[in-house]
Amino acid sequence: MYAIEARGLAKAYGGRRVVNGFSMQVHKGDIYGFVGKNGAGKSTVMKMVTCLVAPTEGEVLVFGRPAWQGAPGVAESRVGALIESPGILGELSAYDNMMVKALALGIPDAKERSQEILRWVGLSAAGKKRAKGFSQGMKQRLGIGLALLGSPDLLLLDEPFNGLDPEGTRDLRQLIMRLNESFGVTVVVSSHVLEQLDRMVTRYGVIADGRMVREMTAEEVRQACGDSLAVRTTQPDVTLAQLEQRFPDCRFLMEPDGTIRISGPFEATAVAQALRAMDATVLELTETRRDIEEFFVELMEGGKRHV
Amino acid sequence: MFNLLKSDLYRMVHTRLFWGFAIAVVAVLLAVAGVMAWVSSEGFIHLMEDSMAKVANDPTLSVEEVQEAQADMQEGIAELGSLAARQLESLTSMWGNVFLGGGLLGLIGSMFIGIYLVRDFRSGFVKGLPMNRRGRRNYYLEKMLLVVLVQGFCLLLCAGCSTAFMAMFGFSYLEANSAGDILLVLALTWLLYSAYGLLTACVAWLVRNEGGVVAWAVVVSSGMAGAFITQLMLLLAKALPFLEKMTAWTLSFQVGSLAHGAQGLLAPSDALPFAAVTPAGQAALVGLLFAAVAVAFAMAVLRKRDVK
Repeated sequence: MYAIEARGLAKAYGGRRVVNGFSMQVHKGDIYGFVGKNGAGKSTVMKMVTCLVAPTEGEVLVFGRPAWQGAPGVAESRVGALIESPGILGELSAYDNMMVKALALGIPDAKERSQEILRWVGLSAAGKKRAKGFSQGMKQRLGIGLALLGSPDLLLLDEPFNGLDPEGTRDLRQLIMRLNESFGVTVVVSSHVLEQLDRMVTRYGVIADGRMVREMTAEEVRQACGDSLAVRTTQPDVTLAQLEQRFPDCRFLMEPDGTIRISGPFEATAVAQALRAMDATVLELTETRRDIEEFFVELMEGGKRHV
Repeated sequence: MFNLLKSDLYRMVHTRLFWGFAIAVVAVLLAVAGVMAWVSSEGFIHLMEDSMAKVANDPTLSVEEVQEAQADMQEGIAELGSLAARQLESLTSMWGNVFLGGGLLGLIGSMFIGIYLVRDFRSGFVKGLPMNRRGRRNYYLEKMLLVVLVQGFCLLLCAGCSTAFMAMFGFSYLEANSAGDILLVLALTWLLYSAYGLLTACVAWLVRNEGGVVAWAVVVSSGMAGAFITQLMLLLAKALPFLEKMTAWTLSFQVGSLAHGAQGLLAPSDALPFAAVTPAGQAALVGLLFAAVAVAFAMAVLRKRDVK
């Protein structure tokens, strides 16, 4: 069973489709990095998962049940979300914000839970101050605290690192990892801070122009990044088979345009000699280094060299 | 749903908005009672008499102008005669004059409700609540229940404070209302203002903008727009007679009828559309009708709107 499964999702505003034919599969226990440019449709997808927005077409299943329908007998607090804004009531203190939401969700030990979460997000000391006067980072932390209040099994965080200082960013990353490892919380994080995602994400989904471009594991992303050798020949299938035999410790990936990307413990000169020995007609042999940012930019722009 | 209600009650008593409105209402009612006490005092009547003397001796005025001004002032003094004894017609008519007829209750209740409901959306707080089918049903039903409770609270606040302040300034009543009359007026007022509150909630969920709901409260819930429409209907009734009885189907007309107090609420009236229905029955019918329309619109249309 998936934590989230989206099938053929579409959302149109005034005839313009901001999400179209979108599919997504988030496994239980994933920390899922949701990557896309501004306006690609990330927030709209998250809103459809949390039922804030109704899909024009398609369906979202959350823990195997249609999200809109909800699961009978299952607490709706299983899904915690921070989407776009922290969603705090500025006229109330941080503690009262917690209490208001805790009571709304029917959490039995509302007071204790509110204080506990404030400690988790580092706002214990500011608990009695009105949230209106908080810095952006404090508001963000309070928003994250509100999302955690219902002990969710699924947590959706839209740009959670916005406004956080380096220490806050590190703390949030560690909190997400702790929730995932200790409590099995499935987390979907959309962020432009790829460096932070790279440190915690187990699977990625890349969205561009309202469509899912690619879903891949963190391992696949790591393979596609770093030092690699791009080889193009007139007979890529034959070349790939022969190279795999000669270099069993390396990893090989065939790109859609026929480019063979070699990563792992390779030596460019050894590969060149092997190609010569195979009598292959080499069109290109390039050693490249791609960082994660470059890789995702290529994917989002629909680059042909994606893996 | 009751979890949401508990949450809202906690939130209300912890916000300045709620206490700000409550204090403003108490201050206005105190001011109204104070002004009534002042205009019924001997000092004020002496002031009026001094003004009459000044007008009589004003060399710039013609004889006709002096006579006209003095007649106006004498009429005013005569009207103040009953006030001078600090005697009001009845408790329910006092309520009608102080916070029903002038639109105070409609204005404050609706304005508070509108601002409060819009803040859920403006702050994004609603995005953190369950918004699937069941979550939305609970959310909207609970808010509408809250609206009814808030209007009940505002009514009791206005009724309690105005009664206490009038007593404090020494006012008494010529006619004693029975407990039944008082309960009837309170119940009908609660119903009519709940209908106003529910309509305001619909507007709040439609526009999701504080300026919009404040404008609605000032123009519509205060009774201003209703009074204008009623006058327009009465004017048009000269050409289309059926419009005259149609005015009895407006909320503002019914609030206006309650502004006279309990008197005549249970007596049949020719001015109403159905001969068998008393003014109290007509008020209840109109209140329930508008409330039902608001609930139906909220649950059928507004509940399904996207939260962007």
